[in-house]
Amino acid sequence: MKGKLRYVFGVLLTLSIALNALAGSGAASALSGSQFQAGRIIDDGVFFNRSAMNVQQIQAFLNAKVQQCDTWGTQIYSGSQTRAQYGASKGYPAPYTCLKDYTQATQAVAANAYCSSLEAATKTASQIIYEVAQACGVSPKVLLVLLQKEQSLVTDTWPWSIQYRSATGYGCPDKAPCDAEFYGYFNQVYNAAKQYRRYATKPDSFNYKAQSTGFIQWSPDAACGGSGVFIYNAATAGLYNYTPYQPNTAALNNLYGLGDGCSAYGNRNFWRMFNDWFGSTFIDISYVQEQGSAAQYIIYDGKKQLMTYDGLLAWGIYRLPLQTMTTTELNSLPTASTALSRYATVNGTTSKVFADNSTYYDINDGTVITWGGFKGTAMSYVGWPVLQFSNFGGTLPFTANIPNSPNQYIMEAGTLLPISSPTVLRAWGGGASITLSGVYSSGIPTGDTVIHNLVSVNGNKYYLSGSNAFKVEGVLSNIFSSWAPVTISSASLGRYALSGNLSHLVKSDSSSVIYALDKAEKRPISSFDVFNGLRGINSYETRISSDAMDILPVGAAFSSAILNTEGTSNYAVAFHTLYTIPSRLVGEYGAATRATSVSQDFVSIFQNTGSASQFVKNTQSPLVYFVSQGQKIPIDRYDVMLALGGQNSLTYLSDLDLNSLPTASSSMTPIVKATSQNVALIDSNRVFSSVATDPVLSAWNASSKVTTVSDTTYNALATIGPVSPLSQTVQTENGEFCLVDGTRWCAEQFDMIYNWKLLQGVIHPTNNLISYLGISSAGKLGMFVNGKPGQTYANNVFAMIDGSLYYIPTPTVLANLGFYGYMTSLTDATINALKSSSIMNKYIVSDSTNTNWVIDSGRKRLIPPTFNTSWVATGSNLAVSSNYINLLPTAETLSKSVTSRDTGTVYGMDNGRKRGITTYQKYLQSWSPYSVISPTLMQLIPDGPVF
Amino acid sequence: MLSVLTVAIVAVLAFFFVIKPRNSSHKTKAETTNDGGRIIYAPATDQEKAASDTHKDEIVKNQDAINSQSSNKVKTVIPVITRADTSSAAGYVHGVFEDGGNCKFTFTDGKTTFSKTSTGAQNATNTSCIITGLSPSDFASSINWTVTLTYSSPKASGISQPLSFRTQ
Repeated sequence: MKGKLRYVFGVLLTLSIALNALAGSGAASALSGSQFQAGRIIDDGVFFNRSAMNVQQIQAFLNAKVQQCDTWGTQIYSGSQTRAQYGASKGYPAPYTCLKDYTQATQAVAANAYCSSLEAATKTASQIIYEVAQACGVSPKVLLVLLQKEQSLVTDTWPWSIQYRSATGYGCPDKAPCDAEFYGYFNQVYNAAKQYRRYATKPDSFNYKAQSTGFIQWSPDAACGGSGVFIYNAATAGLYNYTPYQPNTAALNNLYGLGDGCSAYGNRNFWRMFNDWFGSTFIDISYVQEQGSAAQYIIYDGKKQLMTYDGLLAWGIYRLPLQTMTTTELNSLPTASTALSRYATVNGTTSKVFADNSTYYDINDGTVITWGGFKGTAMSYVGWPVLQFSNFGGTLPFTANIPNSPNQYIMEAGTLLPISSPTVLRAWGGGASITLSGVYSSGIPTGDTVIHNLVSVNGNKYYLSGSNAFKVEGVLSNIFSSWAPVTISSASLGRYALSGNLSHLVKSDSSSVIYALDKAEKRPISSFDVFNGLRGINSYETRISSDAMDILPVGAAFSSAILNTEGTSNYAVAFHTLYTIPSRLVGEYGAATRATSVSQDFVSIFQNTGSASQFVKNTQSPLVYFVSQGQKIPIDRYDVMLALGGQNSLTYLSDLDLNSLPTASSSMTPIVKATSQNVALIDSNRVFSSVATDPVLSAWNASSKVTTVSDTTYNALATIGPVSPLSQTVQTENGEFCLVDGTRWCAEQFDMIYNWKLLQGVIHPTNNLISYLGISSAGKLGMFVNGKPGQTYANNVFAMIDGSLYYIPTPTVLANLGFYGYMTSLTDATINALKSSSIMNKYIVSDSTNTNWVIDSGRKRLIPPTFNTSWVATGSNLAVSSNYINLLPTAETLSKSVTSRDTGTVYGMDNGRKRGITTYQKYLQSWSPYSVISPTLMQLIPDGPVF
Repeated sequence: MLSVLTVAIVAVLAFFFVIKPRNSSHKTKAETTNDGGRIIYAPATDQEKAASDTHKDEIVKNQDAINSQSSNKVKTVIPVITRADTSSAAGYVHGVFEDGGNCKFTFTDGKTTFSKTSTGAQNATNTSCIITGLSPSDFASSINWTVTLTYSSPKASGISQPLSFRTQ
């Protein structure tokens, strides 16, 4: 049964071969040496088809070739000698690992000009073949055949280690040791594939190249000679570069055996094995000319397609051997489609391709626009065999070289724009350029040389940076006003990722330097601090490519975020916020020496928030400083800031600018003085002025807190509100009237306010100033004053009467005035300022209505007008205000005679003296009733003669 | 038509004498891949199996030959010139795989002789010698030229057969 099936299969196969022959296909037909074409051993499309097999197919192929591996070499090698015995005798003992079972731990390989990178791993032989094929762009079929033709590894059931060591024969000259550098299965496969790719990439660097004739020997023996061979394609050239011999007739006549002494078999065997294992080495395509006509066709899939001259060159069809067919023969073939041009849609797909120089490229609608419709070439249709025959160049780039020109060009809307440098090319995202044929490139117009990477698309500007495009908007557009942008189409812009707007700050990954853009220059920013000053709070620099960076000329460095618009105006900028430095503050900021000169455009990038103040800080620290005379004075108290009114006018500086200002040794105070100026206490929106030597400053604890500032600063601060002379009498924000004297004494009564004349020169400081200067509350203001401890008047007591201090000479006077331990302690300076020249030794006070009162132990007692002559002697009374009098509690009205409880003696008052009354009778007659007065008062009333 | 019949007859004969499976225990399976290529999964033929043993004989023979060579002796080689024109020339040195050797191309038209040198480079199984940058003006004196390649290195030296070429 099996035999019958085999027979049927054989018949079918035979018929198939015959039909294939009829159709012109060489696949799977019995191979004959006469089919060998020395100049076209294999087509490029077959040789470089990395996708010809996947790893499973490779493994399955290896498994099929070796059904059973003779791992222990038990099979007979010769006579009674086993393979293991023979192998051991030659240095290759069992066990043997067949290729289908072989694994190897491979090293990682970096990408290079010929192959992409490969990772390290333990891989099977089939994985290695597959991965190398992918990395280097060589067909896995080619590598399998190479392994077989060099070492018989694919079919060997007991391979020796040396066969793996030199698996592809790479680095193995004939009759000489192999180079140990390339030992090992992976090394061998990889280097062979890489070398094939190298041959194709740099054909002029090797002996044989496509579309040229080379002398190829029959064998290594030079005496055997050789012949010139026109080599049609790169794949065939590569085979000869690897193994530089062609089979002679004897070798071809005995395709599966030996030829003669001048035969070499490498390339014959390659061709034969490939055909046996994988079918034809050719793309199924023929290049024919109609007999008696100039018309040329390609024939594939049993159909003919007329070729244009342009198409012949573009698709590389001319590399095929030209055959001749009669008109009748051609007419018998159906027509595939219209004449093949260089711009075509792939049959059965929507994919579009462009061909030139025997290579085709994938294109899209955008590419077509960029390339200007390919010079108006009519779109045609192309079949798969043509694609397989031609080289595949990947995606059509937008950059090109043209023959006989050293320039590279950017293709834009059908015009070639010369590129001034490779840097500019890379900034445009240009990589490998297509080298256009002379046929195609002739007649393409050329435009102006591209010298930078600024482009314009529909009126919008973009800065190109490799694969990215950054929009250049607003002020930044002005910064690049000196660059004429290159106009490109929206389709061309589609090549780039639109990556937001270009910032005024740029950096490349190849350098740590950040630059600011100004006048189309890149200006290095000297420090991270200045960068922080120039950047936005949440915006940073734009990362551009090193090439995009290199195009920008270098300008002067940014040494400061204090900016000067070319000698005109000065600004401080921090976190995208710009402050205009008023002219009066230019000196305070030291801007003249530190500012970075910039364009007005650059300044316009930032949001101008108004004028800079003298209150500055950075964002890293809560510390606030007052900028003055090129230094910064720490403001270490918030109440100082409040006093100076700076809390709402902070100016942010960069760290660098802040740090570059020297720090004053003392902290800032709200008490300022300039040369030849009074001292000014700045209190929010009011100012209190004082002569520097005035004791009142001391009373305010301000003498030691004077900060010297410039005249301009003084004038600015001293005019932030109405100016009042500094006074010791104040009304606080709480409404209290107080006397300031290092501390503050406040009056609780209306009459006390007037008695102390606190309304005279009263000022209205804020609680903040009072607090800052430590003017703490000492208590309520009373009628008696002494000197503070340690002061001259520490042991003196004074009475405050209508704004003057009267010295109280004796404890008796003091007691009579009503002292009960409630004393206001003042400094000498204040006492001196208030002190009356008179002493207080009186006990009668008179108000403005000439009403007389006697002070009796702190109480006032009315002297009835009828008794004035009794009580009041000339000069014995003191005129006081009603306020003072009001402060004294009222006791009984006096009569004209007095007594005290401690004596019981009654005295008659007469012209301010007390005179003894000798008899009770007299008393009753003239002096009754008597008034009881205090013993103290009694003591103070001078005595007169007894009545 | 005759050729078609001939091919058909050859194919039928091939079925019986060449393609007829020798290993009856395994079937051949052919796969046509998406790109139009073919993979024929077939067991190794007897010829392929025999080739493995033959190859081992060659390995042994080659090793014996290598072992018999004196490692210190400068090898005499006969370089081969493969192409030459007025812009470049190329050749290789069989049996040597090394970088750094001296390649001297000597051009002569019988009256004028000049030489250009380059450095040899490893190339898979041999050493290649390439000279580029020649100028047509160098060849102005004649149309017919010959070129020889002289190779010298610490390991090998020799001179090629001349290769003739025309400049027009």
